[in-house]
Amino acid sequence: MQDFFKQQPDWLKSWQESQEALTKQFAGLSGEWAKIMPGSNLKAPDFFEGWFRSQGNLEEQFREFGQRMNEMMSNVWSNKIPSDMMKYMNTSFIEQYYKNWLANIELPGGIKNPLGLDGGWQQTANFLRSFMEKENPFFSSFNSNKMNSQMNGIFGMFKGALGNEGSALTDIFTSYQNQFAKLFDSASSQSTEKLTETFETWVKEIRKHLAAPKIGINREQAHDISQALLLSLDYYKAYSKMTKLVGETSRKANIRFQTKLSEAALKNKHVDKFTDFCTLWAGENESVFLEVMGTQEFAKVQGEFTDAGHRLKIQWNKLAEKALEPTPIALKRDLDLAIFEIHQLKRDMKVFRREFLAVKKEAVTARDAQTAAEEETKNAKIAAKAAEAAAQDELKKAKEIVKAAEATAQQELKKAKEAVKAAELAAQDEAKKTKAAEAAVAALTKKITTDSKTVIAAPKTATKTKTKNV
Amino acid sequence: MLTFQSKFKESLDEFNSFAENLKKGVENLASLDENDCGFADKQDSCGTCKSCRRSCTPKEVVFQDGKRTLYRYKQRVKRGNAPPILMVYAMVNRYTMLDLQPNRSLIRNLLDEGQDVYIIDWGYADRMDRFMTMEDYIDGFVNDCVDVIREKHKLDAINLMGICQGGTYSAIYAALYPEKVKNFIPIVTPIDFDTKDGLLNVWATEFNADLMIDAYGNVPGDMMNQAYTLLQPFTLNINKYINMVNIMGDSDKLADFLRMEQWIFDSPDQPGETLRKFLKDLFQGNKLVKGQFMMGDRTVNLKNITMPVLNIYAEFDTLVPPVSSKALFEHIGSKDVQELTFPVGHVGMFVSGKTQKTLAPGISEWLNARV
Repeated sequence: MQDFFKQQPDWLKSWQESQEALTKQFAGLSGEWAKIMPGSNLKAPDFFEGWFRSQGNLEEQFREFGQRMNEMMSNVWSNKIPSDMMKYMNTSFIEQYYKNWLANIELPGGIKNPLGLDGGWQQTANFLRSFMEKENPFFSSFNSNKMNSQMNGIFGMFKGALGNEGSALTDIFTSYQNQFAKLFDSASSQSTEKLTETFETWVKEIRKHLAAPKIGINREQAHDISQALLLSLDYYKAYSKMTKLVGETSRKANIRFQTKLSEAALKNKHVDKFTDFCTLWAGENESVFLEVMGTQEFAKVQGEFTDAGHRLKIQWNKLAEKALEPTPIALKRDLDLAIFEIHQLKRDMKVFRREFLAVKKEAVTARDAQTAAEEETKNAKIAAKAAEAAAQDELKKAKEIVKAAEATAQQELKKAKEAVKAAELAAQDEAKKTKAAEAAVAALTKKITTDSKTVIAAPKTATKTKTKNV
Repeated sequence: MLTFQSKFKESLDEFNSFAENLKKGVENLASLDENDCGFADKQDSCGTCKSCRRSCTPKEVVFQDGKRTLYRYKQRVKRGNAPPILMVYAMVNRYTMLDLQPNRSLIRNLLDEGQDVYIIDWGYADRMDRFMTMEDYIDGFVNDCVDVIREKHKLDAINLMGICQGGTYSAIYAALYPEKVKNFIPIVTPIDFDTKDGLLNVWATEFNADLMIDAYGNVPGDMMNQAYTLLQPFTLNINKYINMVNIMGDSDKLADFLRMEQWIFDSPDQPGETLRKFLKDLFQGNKLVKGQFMMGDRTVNLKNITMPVLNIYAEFDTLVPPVSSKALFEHIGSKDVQELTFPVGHVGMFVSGKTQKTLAPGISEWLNARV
């Protein structure tokens, strides 16, 4: 962008130089003005002649500046700024504002301001129309450029598709386009009404021809074209109605604006500043227009206008489709059908995807639950195994204890048995000893007896004592 | 009374200053970088969007479905405890309005309040979107986004913020899925379309929406823009550009102006079937407040909106008249409803200096009290 600006120093420099020159000229004129004050020899008309010439130059400068700005913006930013914005950023109307501001300057002594003679956009409708021409629109969807370019395209298709047959319609199409161009070029609601009447007559005439078409014109196509002409007439009428409403509102707005200017002048508060003038003009117009645009009547006129435009557009599309039917070119309706089917498939796919995701989610949840359960089982098994091992261990320990106890018991038993045995042996021994003792006693007794036979008698006590000792 | 001579002098001075501004303006235009004005089509700081400004708040793609994208903005301060906010912007313009530049950014201000912000980018509809329906957008994409965020944050419900037409979409969503919406914040949202306060509402009653959609398929963004500029035809089409000359000498102001222009005319085409339903069922039929609005085979009942609601609207809104937004109060089931109003217009709600320091803190305070 910077490079582009660097490439443009010449015109910018010369523009700036012109501004300075004009400023000096103004300053000079300002000095001259002083001379035509009472007592001066310089006549006012001579002064104003020079002054307005300068103003005219100035206006040229503004115009050039506006155009250059637009050119620059378009060249530099056209691929970066949305085209809609480019369209709106139209600085060339600054020149129109300036011109009208100058036209508004009140001159002394009843001198007519020559810049005010052509009216400029003091007629709001003209200003709005100038916007339409620049695609700064009031309903520009249906402005001349768009409608004409669409029609050109469609007629081109017709001619291309119909070949020789199409040439029979060329005159009708050409005439039709001319009629439409006139409508958009119409400067006032009155002339639009006149054009509508002319168009209506033309449509009636052509429809008569199309009702009984020339050889070479397909009847069905003739009927379709006839229908399109009828819809065109509706559009023409709706456009005319809208123009009338806008025109009336513009006049009303202009009266209010002029009244405000006069009121300000009467109060000695002239609207001299350029920006104040613009603000007042826009403000007064807007308030009047919004009053109208907020009504049901406006909505109705606007609705009729847009509906008529849409009906016409649909009919032309239909005609274009028919014209292209015999060709291998894909038709709009075929593309629409394909798009619809693709969209339907995408929608189904989305539903499936959602269902799939839901199922997937369920599956993941189930799998998670399964993993958790498996983990739990595994843990339980490990725990059971550990418990079993512990139990085995305990059992082993218990067994060992039992064994040890048994061993101890056995040992004790053995010991006891041995003790018993020993005791038995001892007892046996004792018994033996007793037996022996008894035998000894018996022997002794026997001996004693034998001895007693020898010895008359032994005392009883001595015998008892011995027995006790055994 | 001024003499003609002194008037002449004044005029001369004014002209000189006007010419000087124009000259400076040309110099400024030469020195402005395209990125400064929002016209860049290449790389930018966050690297996520095609025509981003260098200074836009960084964000990352979280989820995508065709042309539609869910973004999450990167945190600027430590995030608080409130659930994340999903912002649903209108389809008729771009969400970039919410992050126009660092000093005019609702998103940045919310992030600075510690909020976690997600946003839906509807993308630019083309012919392939001709048959996309409101169900596809609301029941489809919005619902997907809400689910993605809920899953990511392991939350049952998140905060939902809808702006303008996106607010209407959000209200429909909140009525269909109240369990997924913790708090609902509609901003400059049309709810009751049957009003004479708005020009669009009046105009919509007298034209045939079917014809328009059948004629165009997708309705051109250009056409929508023309309707909006007609709301203030002389101010927006003419005077704005006269006043532009006065600011052309200041490069910052000029960049601000161009950024705004870029946003205004960055209007995607409207998918035909979605707009048909929006115009017929809402603008013309006013079915939402009548309890007759259908999404597929389900009736949308606004009484299902039982979660806390913060309804924000602009007092001087010419696009969505305040009365249309305020109507939400009487049609929903919530018992916790608060209204927040600002003395601004529709767009001013997001870009005016008045709201920069009050809107985001107001929202944040309200949300933090309802964590």
